[in-house]
Amino acid sequence: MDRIDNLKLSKEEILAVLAVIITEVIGDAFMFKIGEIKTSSSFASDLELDSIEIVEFSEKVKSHYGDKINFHTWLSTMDMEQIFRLTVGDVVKHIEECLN
Amino acid sequence: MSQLRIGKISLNVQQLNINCPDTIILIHGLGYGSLAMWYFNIAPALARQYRVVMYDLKSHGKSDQVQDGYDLITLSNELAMLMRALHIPTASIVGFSFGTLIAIKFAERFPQKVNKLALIEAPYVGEQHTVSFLVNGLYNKSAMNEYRKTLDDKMQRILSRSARQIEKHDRMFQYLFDKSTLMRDLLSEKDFDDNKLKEIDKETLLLNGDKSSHLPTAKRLKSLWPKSQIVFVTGGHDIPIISPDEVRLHLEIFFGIEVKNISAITI
Repeated sequence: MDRIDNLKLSKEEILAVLAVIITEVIGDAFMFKIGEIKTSSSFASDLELDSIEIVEFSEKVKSHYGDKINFHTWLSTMDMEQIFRLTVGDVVKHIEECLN
Repeated sequence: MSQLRIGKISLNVQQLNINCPDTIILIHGLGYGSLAMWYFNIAPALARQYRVVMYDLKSHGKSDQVQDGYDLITLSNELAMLMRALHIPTASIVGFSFGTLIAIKFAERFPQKVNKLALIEAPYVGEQHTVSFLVNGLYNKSAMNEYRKTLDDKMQRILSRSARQIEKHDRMFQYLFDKSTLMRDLLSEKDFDDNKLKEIDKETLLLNGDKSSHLPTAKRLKSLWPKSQIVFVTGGHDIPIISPDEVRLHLEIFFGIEVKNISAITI
């Protein structure tokens, strides 16, 4: 994905970017099974991500949004159980706060 | 994720603070292990003062599935090739479980490339218990479920997986045990020679769980290595997952990193 430099992104725009990234991580087949990625979708119970897939997600988010969002630093403040409980909405909120 | 070609195989490698001159390389254990065990907590802390390199062992995480070469000589050769590919002349090595055995073999064969060693829960190579655990425990699904029941609550919660994850990990274990030479290589691995071990004259941290059964190995290494120290962390074998903050703290102290609250770290 191309890296972006523009600021002031809406929640919907961020969610759309994250949906593309998550689809790349979990694959089209599983994406088809879960249907839609919502802000309420949780990493573990809805998206069924394991830890190495969350690393992949994190690297793709970092690559897309750059240093402005300190994504890895944000994740490093949590333990594994907290990270598994994260929702897509939590990530959208963090990115929005950093960029806007 | 960054794939790095090492000879005929491609390994998943993640790096932090790559412009720092001093490097720490992190090696995970077998089975459920991947570089993710370091990525979220321990690696960011070490990266405050070091270049940190994490990689998925072959057939683990996002690295290539590879049929053979699970003996410690091949695995330590691959670590040397990884360092060469990344232009890292020397590094400190941190290993967990089976990763400690790769670190020890590497230090034995390439001492000039190693600065310090941190060995978390080093098992005894050639130990029948370790091998039979892998054969009878991980290989067999029902035995693996029994094994899970012996883990503490937190570890069970972390390992509780969705159907997709169980299927994914079953495929990985099936490949490792049915299609690769992992078991044959493990079973034919000889114990380290004490005289060769003594020649590894490195400052070493031996980090062990206070409820783990691997303390005899740490004591053996301590008796051979005057520059080593044993430190206990709360938990059993899986201390980097159960007690990552404690493990991180001891690694920070060992590597001379100013101890900070993790929330104050900027990567």
